[in-house]
Amino acid sequence: MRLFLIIFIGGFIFQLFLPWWSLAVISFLAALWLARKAGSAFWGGFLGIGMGWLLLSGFYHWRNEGLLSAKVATLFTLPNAVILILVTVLIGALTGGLAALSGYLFGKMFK
Amino acid sequence: MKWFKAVFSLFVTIALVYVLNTKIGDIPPVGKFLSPFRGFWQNAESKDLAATKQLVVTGLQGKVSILLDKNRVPHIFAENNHDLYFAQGYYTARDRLWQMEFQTHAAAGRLCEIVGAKYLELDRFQRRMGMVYGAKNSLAGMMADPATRDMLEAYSAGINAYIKSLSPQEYPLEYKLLDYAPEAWTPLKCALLLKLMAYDLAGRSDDLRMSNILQQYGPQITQDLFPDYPFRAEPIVPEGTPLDFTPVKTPSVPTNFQAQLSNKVLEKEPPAELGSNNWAISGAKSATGYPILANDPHLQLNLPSIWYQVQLIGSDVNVCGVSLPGAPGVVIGFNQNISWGVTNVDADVMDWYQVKFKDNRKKQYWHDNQWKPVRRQVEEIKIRGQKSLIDTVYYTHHGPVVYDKPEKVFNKQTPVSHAMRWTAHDKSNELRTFYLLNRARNYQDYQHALSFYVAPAQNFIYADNSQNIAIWPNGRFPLKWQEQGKFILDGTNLAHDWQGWIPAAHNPHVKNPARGFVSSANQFSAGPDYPYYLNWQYSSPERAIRINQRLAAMEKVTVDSIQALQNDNFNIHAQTILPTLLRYMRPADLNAHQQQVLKVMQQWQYRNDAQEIAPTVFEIWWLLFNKAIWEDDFANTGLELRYPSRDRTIHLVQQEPQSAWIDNRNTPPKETLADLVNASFRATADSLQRQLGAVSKKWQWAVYKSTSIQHIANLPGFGKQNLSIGGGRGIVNATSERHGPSWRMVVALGPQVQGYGVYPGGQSGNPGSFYYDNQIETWRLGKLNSLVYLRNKTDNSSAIMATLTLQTK
Repeated sequence: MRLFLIIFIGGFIFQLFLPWWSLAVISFLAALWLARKAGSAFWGGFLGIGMGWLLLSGFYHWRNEGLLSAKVATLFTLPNAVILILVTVLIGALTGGLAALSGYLFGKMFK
Repeated sequence: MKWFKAVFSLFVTIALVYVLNTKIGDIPPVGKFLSPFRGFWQNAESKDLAATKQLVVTGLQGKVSILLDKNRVPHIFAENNHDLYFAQGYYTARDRLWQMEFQTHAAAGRLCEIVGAKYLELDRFQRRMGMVYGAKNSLAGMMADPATRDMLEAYSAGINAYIKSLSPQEYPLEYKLLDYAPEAWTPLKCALLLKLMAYDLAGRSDDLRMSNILQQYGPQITQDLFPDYPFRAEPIVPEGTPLDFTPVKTPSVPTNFQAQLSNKVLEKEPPAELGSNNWAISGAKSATGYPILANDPHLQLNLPSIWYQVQLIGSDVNVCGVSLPGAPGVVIGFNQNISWGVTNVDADVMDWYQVKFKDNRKKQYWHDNQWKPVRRQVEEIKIRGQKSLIDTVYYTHHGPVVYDKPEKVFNKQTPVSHAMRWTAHDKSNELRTFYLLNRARNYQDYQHALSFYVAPAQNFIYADNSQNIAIWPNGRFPLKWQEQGKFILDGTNLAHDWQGWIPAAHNPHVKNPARGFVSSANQFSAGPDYPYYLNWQYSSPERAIRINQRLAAMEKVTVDSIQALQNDNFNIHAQTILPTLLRYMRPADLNAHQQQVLKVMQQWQYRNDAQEIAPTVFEIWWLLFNKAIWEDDFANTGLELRYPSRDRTIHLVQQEPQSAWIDNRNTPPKETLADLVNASFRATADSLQRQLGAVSKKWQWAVYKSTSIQHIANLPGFGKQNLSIGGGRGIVNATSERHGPSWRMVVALGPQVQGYGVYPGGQSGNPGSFYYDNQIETWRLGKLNSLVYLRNKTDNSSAIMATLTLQTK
């Protein structure tokens, strides 16, 4: 839970000011420091980043009344904007999860 | 083992991040693009605008206020011209930066830099056409004049100020999709944009085809089938309009030159249907007692729109209308005293000269009895992800040799080993014309402004609140001998060069004619009584005929009646020829389905309205009928040829029904006109049945025509498809599949000028904005928005939704 929160909040802050892949850095470092098990490391990163991406993309989608997401969905031959949001969240979450898992494994080496 | 798992996991993570951060083929860097913090989500705009906003921008001399109305049209108030054009550049970039850059990259032949080798042929063609060469020459012209130089530099500085303010997550969507960053703007790009318009409007030529026809059929047939003046003409300057100048001597026709045949198949040319309408009615005909002016330029319908609405209020100017994103000033519009608009002039200002090189090294060419040096220009075409392509373009004094090897030729009209002479290559300052028009107060100012204009030649229409209306087919026209440039010219013969220019004051013009209106629809500039040769063919006159018919009949004209005329769907061509075709029909030979279709045609009132079925049938029927007459003679012969004009074909059908041209020379029997009419009708009915089934709603004109507006990079999902709207080619409402009125404007002159306008798009180039395509429905319905025209910052405050203040600290 702590890991999830650190990655969610820390990740959000990192991504506001740094390139998109800084989400991997924060996930890696947080898991390196805090993770106790491989599974919880991965899920901490996956959900921590995924939640951030879900909330923010969801907000923009709502504020824009789905105008742009519908167009981008068509562009990528996705059936609708909801699938697009799903794909968005999955990409971020997967990257976060893998980075966190790597962090945990590195941490294990030194413990 | 632990370290192996750790390293492997890290490796996979880094590899994933790398892949998600890299553009692969046409797919953008997925991670970067989908990130809600950086990617396309950032471009999903909120509906609400902040009511007031202050921005600090470096480079301004004073304070600038930009007032935005409910269509997000900026009304820019500045204290001097520098700030005015700086702000125009800044704010236009805010709405349309990507479009401005993409279009100028396309003009310069630099698309491969962004998109990769996909556009190599296009880019190479642009280089060889001399687009940058022409732009550089025009730029020199614009920079030589202090007013236009300052205008360009301020405009460029404004754009650059905006670009500098952007962080990557604020880039327009297309930059993120195509994964590149905006580059700095330069005045050369303004010139390139104007050249892009010049190509679209004045880049067509039939010289190659005509030369092949001349070779194939000889001068007599060529003159008969391709005469220098149509049977039915409606010239812009009516016949009999008195000349107010003494014509200069025109060059005499030199001895005949037989151009070499060319069997090249060519690929790219601007579409034929780019044209426009404009007209103005006098105060005497108007309900208000003051003139009304109307203009609708016809271009390819794209998003973002080629036009951008703006009002510019400076120390010496208050002008409103549309601008071209990428060039300063207002191009079509009005101010307190005058209004103006443009339609294309199909003057022949692009000629081809057959070049005789000394040898394969192409270092010299023969002209005026001597060998002259060839200038070589090495073009580097940068290609994303690949090595650059180096191309050499050869220049003669005529212009660039567009294709000099028997290689794949890009433009259907571009002959081999021929140099292009084009007015758009010359030093010029079109910007000065618009600068002056924006500030014009009377007819003299307007005429003076026009004298600077070179290319693309336009029919400049004019109306003012002093009861004047006028039109000038205007540009720099070469002083030609009769038919010079109708065919390929002899590049070795000095007498074939352009011998001079028609003096600007001798351009065709008419002012305050007795009939009470002026108009143009790309038809002949003037009748046979005009003393100079401009061209042998112009656009088919159907629109002109209809416009003039209606304007002559109208009295006490109002803005509403003008608007109705802009949306007129009457089909003059159908009215002209359909009765003739129907007379030849043999209904007894038709099956049930075909009879049903025939009945539709017989009942048609010649309106290309959206729900009518007859226009669909007529469009195809004429196509097949026309082909049936000419295809055996002018296509599939191995040479690049063209059919005779519609006007000539109508004359053949109605006045020469026994003509030998009707027979299909490839078939043993001798076809008659009746045979062709009936066969093409049956083929039409059958073809539509195969395609669409029995006669139903699917046959309706708007459904069949399926007018669509596409994104300028053809991104699926970013356009608007299947708009239900009538009209068509050769109709006043000139809306076809991909082309149509890109701007509709009506201006009522008077003590308080009032403008109306709409375009099928929106002010914002951001597909994520509510203002990307918000005007399309209004346009589709044939309505017009009332144009907000402010006299000062507090004028009409209820129309203003937000104010943006710009100043330098």
